[in-house]
Amino acid sequence: MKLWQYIARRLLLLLPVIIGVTLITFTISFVIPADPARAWAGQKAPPSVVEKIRIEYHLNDPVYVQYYYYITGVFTGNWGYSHSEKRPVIQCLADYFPATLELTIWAMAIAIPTGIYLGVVSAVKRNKIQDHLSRVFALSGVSMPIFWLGLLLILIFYTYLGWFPASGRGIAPTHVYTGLWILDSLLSGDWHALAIDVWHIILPSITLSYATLAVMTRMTRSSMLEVLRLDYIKTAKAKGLSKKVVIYRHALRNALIPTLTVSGLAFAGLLGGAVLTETIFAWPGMGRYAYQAISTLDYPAIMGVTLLMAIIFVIANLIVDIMYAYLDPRIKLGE
Amino acid sequence: MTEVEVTGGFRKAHESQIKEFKYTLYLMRRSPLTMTGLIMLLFVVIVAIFAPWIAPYHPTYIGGQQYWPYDSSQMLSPPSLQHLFGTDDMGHDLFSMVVYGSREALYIGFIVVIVAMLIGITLGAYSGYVGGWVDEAIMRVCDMFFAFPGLVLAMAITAALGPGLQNVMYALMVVWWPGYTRIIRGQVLSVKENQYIEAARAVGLSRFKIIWKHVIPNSIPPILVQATMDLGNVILTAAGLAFLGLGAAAYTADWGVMVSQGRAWLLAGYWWWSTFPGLAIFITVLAFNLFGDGLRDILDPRLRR
Repeated sequence: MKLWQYIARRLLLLLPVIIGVTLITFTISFVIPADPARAWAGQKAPPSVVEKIRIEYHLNDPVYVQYYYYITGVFTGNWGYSHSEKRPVIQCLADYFPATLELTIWAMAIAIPTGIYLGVVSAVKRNKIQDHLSRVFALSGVSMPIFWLGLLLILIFYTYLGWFPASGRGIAPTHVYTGLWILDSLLSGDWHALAIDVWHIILPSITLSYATLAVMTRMTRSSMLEVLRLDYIKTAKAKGLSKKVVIYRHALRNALIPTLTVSGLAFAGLLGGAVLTETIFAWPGMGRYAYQAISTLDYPAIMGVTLLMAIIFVIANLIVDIMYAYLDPRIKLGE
Repeated sequence: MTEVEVTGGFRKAHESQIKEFKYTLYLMRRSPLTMTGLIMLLFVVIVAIFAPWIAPYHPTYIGGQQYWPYDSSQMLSPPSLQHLFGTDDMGHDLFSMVVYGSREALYIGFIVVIVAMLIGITLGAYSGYVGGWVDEAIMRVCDMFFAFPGLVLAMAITAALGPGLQNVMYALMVVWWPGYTRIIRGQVLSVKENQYIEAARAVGLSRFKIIWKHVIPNSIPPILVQATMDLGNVILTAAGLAFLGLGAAAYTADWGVMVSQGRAWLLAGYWWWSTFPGLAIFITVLAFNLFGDGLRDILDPRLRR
């Protein structure tokens, strides 16, 4: 099988997964105790209006009919109406998605290189002080409540030192192309916005990256430990290659493959963490939207965020799998 | 005399296991991180058990409000000898609340992990042992759950059921069972190839008996490490949900709720309200992770050196 065939097959397999995801979100919205027709009509609406809404939105139909309307809605962009924002959920998500994307990209950009570096150091200096320190650092990362870390950073760097802002995304650049403000301000040459936006993203992205960084460190460490014992590393050392070349050229290349797989899974942690991070830093993304939707009982919004995050996660893992097949030729043949 | 013989017999019969166990203990003692985790864990458990004796006040006791007018000096007072972790805006002693909170955290962790494990063991064992369409169906359902980031799915479920500790626990069980199902299934697939399973089938044991008496007991040990670390993860996720306002009610002795409530006062300089409960979450989860991580290194024969 060629790589493009593999990609095509994986893309086809995406469809049943997304249908499975909608089955779960549909089931969850089904157990919601509140009456959606009543919520839509308002508390004072007469029963006839509520009944009319119920008929219009197929709420009296059997479950499978409702699911049919639900899934056609999902695929045609009808994700429900967000009553806290008084507009369709899909519009809100389109507005908030870039902010979350920007935050997670930055968090990944911090987490992946740092995590790999620490993992390599940890493995090479196994059971030495560097190893213990980086392991404690990594274990702290997976153990620390992300919201607490965010609060501590705000307390230190905003309240006491006043170095960084504690909330918001900064200011919008003169031209918004992608919705990723830092990229946009670079594209439009708006240096003032660039400085302010970078300033604003530092604390949230550090907060969000820590847990992922920790996961990357641990995975790199353990896969490096496995690889370092293999014969070809001994050969490379015996050839008289320098330690650096052996570690980074020979060992790390192979050790990175499992790390890559984990980075796809770690994306789940990033998306979940984004909800908490955005809540703390008032970052106007999907996570904060979900948080506000929880407090206003805006169920379509909560389900919309859940569905979109699941889809993003599935696609992220698809990308990782494709990269995996690209990097490790043994896999791409689908054996 | 007979007793001695029995013990001797037991020792002889299980000589290799006892040696293995002693060797594990020896490795554990030599691993400082594992021992640190174990000691921290014991500390948290002791605090939870002896909470009523350790905490100077009951977690619902409100200082300075028994009489009119209120003694407002007891509200939001910074850490002092009287209130080690300070007080909240109603005058609750935060130290006592943090101490009692350990009970709730451990309770959530253990119940959720045990229930998730029971579901996972049952489904995973059948899935792996029976195979065929049963296996296919169970695994595809698991895949549906794996498509969600854990915290997000738990958030949606709790939001749908309504906030509250009970619902948080239900949501976390829903999130955690597929993981165990998959691990157990993998274990069962390798265990069922063993000759003693074939022997059990040959002597005519029922499928039910083979699964519960032979397959499951031999598949469980490897997931205990995972369970140890999951205890920490469950506590962490539950705290996250509480922070989002989906957990217990305000002013409950729940660490996540306390961090969440204290957050509103943090920027005004009342740092202690959020800081100490957060530290408690961190220490507890770290203890489980340190211990679990060390345990995995010790039990994994490939990493033994």
